[in-house]
Amino acid sequence: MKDQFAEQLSALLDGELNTQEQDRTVSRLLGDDETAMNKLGRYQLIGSVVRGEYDVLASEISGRVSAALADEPTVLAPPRRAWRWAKPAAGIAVAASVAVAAIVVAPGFMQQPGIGDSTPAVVVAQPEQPIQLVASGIVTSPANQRSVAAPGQWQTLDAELSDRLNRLVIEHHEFGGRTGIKGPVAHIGLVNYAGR
Amino acid sequence: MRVAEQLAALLFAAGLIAQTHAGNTDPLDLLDRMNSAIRSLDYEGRFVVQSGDRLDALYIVHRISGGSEMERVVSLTGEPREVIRGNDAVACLVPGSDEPISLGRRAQGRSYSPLTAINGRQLREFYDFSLLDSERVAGRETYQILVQPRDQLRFGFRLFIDQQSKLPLRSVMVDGANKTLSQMMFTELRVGEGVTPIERDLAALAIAKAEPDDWQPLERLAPAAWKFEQAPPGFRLNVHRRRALPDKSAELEHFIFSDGLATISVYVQPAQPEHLISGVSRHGAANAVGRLVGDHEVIVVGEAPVETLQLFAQAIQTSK
Repeated sequence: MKDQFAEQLSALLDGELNTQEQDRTVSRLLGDDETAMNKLGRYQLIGSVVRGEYDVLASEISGRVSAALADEPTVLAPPRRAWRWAKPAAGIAVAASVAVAAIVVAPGFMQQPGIGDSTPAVVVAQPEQPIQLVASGIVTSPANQRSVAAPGQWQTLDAELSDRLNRLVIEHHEFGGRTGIKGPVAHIGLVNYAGR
Repeated sequence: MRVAEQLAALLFAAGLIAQTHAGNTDPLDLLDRMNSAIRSLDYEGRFVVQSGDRLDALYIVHRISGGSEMERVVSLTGEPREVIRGNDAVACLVPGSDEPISLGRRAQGRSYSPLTAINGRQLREFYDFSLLDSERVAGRETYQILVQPRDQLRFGFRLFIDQQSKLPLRSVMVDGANKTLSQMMFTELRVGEGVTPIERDLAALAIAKAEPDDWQPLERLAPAAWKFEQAPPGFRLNVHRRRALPDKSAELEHFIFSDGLATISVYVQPAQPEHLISGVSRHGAANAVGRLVGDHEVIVVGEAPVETLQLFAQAIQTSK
């Protein structure tokens, strides 16, 4: 019922109610408690922001309305999924070890800003440890490997070679550090590969 | 007279203020402030990345919590993925069912943020920085900085920095003919108060940080089997690492060079004739060059002109 009233308020502000409905809504608003008035204020503010009048309004927003706004559900954050967690298992040992490799590699390089002025270090993962690098630097054991969807076909290459090259490009971004301008391939890596 | 003096003093002060503001638009100063904003502000927004004919959308939230940076990046297109980065760990989440969940630990957590630091002062030998006309991105006024290479060995950029927050809202990678190769652009951004909390994801990081009791580092140092006679000017070796090939048959050596902006990877591994990547391949802004050196395959990849990659491919030789 409350939601219905909220919808009416919203429609009132948007000019979508006929005269009769307008009267009814305003009457109820006037007779209602402070909550409805607060809500109306918020809707007005949201409308103003949408219409680009935010700067004019900014100085007039009371702390109370600001706080109310903070309670509004965010429109930017994507809806949460039912993420599921696995307990740390044997695989994490491999993950941790490779991660440390990344730290040893070139600390200066990964610190911001600028390129590393450190001497390049050398790191070796023992060949008897089957390590598969995938996007986001996350490492899975071979049992967890699966074929990955190619972010795109490379010119002059067939699907299999494209896939191989894509893996190398993602590894390139993994170990390339956080400095410089990151190419979109890094993000494509996240979209397609992360966690695999 | 007194009024005139006061007026003159006022005008002088106004001039000083204007001058200070003008000084703040020096491209290198702006980059310094951008680097600081990236790490110190709370912000969230949606951004798109485009490379070649591909377009993807992502969401990022960055917060300072207890003096530490936290960041969450979620893919909005393609497979649902989420990466959470804390100061000393990175966790990757994939949704539900019986899929394996991978967790990683990082002391210098790598980031999927599109916002990266650029040290303009270190780049001046090979790039020029200038201020272009301001433009609007994500509904906000930005400073537009042109980062132009001084030679043909690297790509250029146009950077759009939010005038208010100093966050980079768009970066466009262009080739020598000023053609767009790839770009990142925010479509919505929120800065400061009201940014969505990440704290509820702390459990993910706690798991990522957890170390089994029997944890042992597997890495050991070893010299490189390959060397570069002459790397292209401005590029320095930053990383050398090895890893086993998936089938354990041999090792792959990986060298990463950077000039501070462009990054090039060189991979060397025993050649498998049926799986050779040879010649030049392109994919959006990324290029790849393959070459056989004896019985080894050399693959150079990076977002740089093909000529640069070829110089690396030609410069490599065994160190024995």
